Amino acid sequence: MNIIEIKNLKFTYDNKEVILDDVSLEIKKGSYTTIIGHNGSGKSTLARLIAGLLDKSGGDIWVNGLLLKEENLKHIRKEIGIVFQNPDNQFIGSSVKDDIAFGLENKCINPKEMDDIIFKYASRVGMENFLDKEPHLLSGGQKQRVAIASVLAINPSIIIFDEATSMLDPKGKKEIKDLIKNLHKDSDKTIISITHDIEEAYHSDYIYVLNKGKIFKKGKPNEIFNNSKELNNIKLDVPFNVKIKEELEKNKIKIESYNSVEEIVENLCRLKLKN
Amino acid sequence: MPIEIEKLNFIYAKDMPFEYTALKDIDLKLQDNKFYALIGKTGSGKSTLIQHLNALLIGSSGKIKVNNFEIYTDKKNKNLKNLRKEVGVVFQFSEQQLFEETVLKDVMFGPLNFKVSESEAKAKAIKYLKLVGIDEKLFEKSPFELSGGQKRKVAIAGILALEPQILVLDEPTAGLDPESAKEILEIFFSLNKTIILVTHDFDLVYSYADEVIFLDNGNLITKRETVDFFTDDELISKYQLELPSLLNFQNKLSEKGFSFTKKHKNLKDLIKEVIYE
Repeated sequence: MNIIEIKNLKFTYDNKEVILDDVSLEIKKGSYTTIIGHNGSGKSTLARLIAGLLDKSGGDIWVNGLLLKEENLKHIRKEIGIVFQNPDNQFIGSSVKDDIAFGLENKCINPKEMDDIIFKYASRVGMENFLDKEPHLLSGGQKQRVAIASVLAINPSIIIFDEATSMLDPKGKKEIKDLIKNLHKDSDKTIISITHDIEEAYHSDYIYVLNKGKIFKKGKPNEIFNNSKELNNIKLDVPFNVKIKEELEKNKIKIESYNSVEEIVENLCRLKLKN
Repeated sequence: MPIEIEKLNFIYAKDMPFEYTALKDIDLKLQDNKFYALIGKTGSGKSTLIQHLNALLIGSSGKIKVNNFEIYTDKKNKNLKNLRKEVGVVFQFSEQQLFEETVLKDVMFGPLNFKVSESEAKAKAIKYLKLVGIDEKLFEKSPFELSGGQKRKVAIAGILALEPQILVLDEPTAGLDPESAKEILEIFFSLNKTIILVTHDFDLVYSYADEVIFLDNGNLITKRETVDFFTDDELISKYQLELPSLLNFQNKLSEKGFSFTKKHKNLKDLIKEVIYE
């Protein structure tokens, strides 16, 4: 079942600059979809349109069977949570607890239940020991984890990560990527991640590649990354294991599987023994 | 313009409850026209250190010499402007510093501040905007109308237009798509200046940097040749550093009995040796 369906979506700034041009896509319920593309390809605009934060110029978006329009907006927003790029721009509360509570208050949750809910979701992201901490005492990765807890507390069926790891250091990046992976594994939430991280995309279920406001390619990771030239042409890179595979091919060596560096090394060993 | 740092200490909020020593007895000598990578965890002191190089921060004690220009930690410094012309710093998310009405004016702002004539400033702005790959069509646009990657390039052109001999770059490619990141690095690499690059991207360090400067918790742990650094197993495991992808691949091959004449800095050469050894 598709939880999101988009048909012929168009978005222009001031009727001049075309940002998204005739974009159609489907996202399966419970899947982990990544959207990749160079800077300015329209990735973030697409995310904002799905969440109803921007008004489309044409086309239609369905979220969970509901057409995205003014009277459905309230319902649709309940289905969608977004984690943005900059950890400092989305911390609203004066402590971790307040920050998670903010969304719950807006949902008119009974204050008696609130503490339990907050604890539950703070634990989900490993921040239960930081509930009274102020934001400036947290690292970027920790702030993003709180942002994720705040989103989870609202219990949306879809979570959009809009370059949520790009401002973090490697440790923070890994924390958040692992958290996203676990969320995908342990819950039925639909995850959409807009990212420059090719390795992250490589491990997702399905990839949409955007270029100049159009869908350039879509498919499973191995289908997307089988041609680095094509991706390089639109300013994208391929994962390191694919690079090795291609460099070997240039030297007329074909290996059967290349899902990880380890696999490639084993393949090369076998080839070496044969000779 | 060699840089010499001796026993540099920096204490944030001295004599306050939150007093914190960010740099501890740093001794560092950097040579001309080399490409240095400055690495370390968040909070290790990298950003604090680079702000000392053009005297945006003044140490609590110690000595810094940039060429013949000495930055004093014990008395008032004069003529810092001369120093700042020689040491250009590109900060993290530098696009947030754009402010002028047009792209061209934004890049001209720096040179004009250093008393360069209007026409010369314009010529420099055009030269460096072109160098970073900004199309002439964009020169008269507002910088705020550009995409994130373009903005970053404009901000970098603004620093290059000062023609500093030393370029300090704090995560200049963070948040950029891989291709834009590569373009920008190739530009820096081609400049023939002293470059100090703050980054978390070890793949990039491995292929570009001559030497690695490694900070941890305000201490300078080591400064040495890049391959030397990443092949020091003890150091790598002690600080739980991740290996560059290329080196990791080569190590795994070595473990399985492949032999190599050297550590390769690009995949092409590595594969050649694997196949034709």
